[in-house]
Amino acid sequence: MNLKGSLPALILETLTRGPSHGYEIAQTIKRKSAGVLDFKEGTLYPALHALERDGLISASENLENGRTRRTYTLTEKGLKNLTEERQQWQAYSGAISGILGGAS
Amino acid sequence: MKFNQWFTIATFQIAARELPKIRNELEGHVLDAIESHQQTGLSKLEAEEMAVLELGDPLEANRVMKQTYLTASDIKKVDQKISITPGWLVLLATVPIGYALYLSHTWSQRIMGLMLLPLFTEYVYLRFVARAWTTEKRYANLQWLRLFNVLVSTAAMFGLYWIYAQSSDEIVRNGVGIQLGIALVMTALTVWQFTELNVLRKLRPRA
Repeated sequence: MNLKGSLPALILETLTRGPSHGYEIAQTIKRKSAGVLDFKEGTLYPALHALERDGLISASENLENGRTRRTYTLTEKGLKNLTEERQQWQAYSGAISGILGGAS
Repeated sequence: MKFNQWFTIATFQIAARELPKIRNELEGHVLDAIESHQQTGLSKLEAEEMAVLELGDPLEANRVMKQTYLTASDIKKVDQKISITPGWLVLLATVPIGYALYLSHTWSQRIMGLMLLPLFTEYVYLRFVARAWTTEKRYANLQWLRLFNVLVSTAAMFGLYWIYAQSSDEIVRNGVGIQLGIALVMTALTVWQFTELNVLRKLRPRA
């Protein structure tokens, strides 16, 4: 199943569990979607950087095993945005379920 | 496919200034993935192939990256605009304002010629400083400078109109009229500059 425009919301949702770096975020999304979503990890970083640019997440750099890692944290603005996304998604999925659920 | 090949395709036409950060994160990601796959029993080569495969189609990544990061053509566009637009403004303003100053009879009228100063300041700033404007602070400075230009030009317009209204001398009124027209054009162009270059959206910080 294609992720289309839902990757930013999935990233924000993942970050509600606490700060995380890119690889960890990717693994969490893959694990939670149980392979259903067609998630290409190469598109994760542009999405992370766009969220950071929009102030929805913040990033800090730290040295780990000789490598510089960027750790992302959800901001207040990001949390607010996620709440709106959740509401929209619930309304949308409720409407689709109402139609497809009643088709059988 | 090797990571380097994947990265070259994925970042095709992305501006050079964007590349180090993207590469650093993606490389780290691939190293993590290789480690993880090796723990499941894959050889290093297999683990690397798997890690790069998981990054997905580099052409798709390139499409996404072009929407997110500055491309080489974005940079070219910005460079052209920051070089050419203020240059035209200066050219546009210099001759008639110089002529109007030549016709000036009063100190207040000459002062209005100083309107050119912020214009040149903006030109120099845009041309030589703002080339490296990858931070929000620089972008904000640029917008403040433009706002300053608008305020100076607006103040000059009021001053010129006041001189125009006070004077009955035909020559003075002609000179002031020209200055007033130029100030109006400069103000309009500077206001327009606030809204041009949508590409600047991408220039906010990703430090």
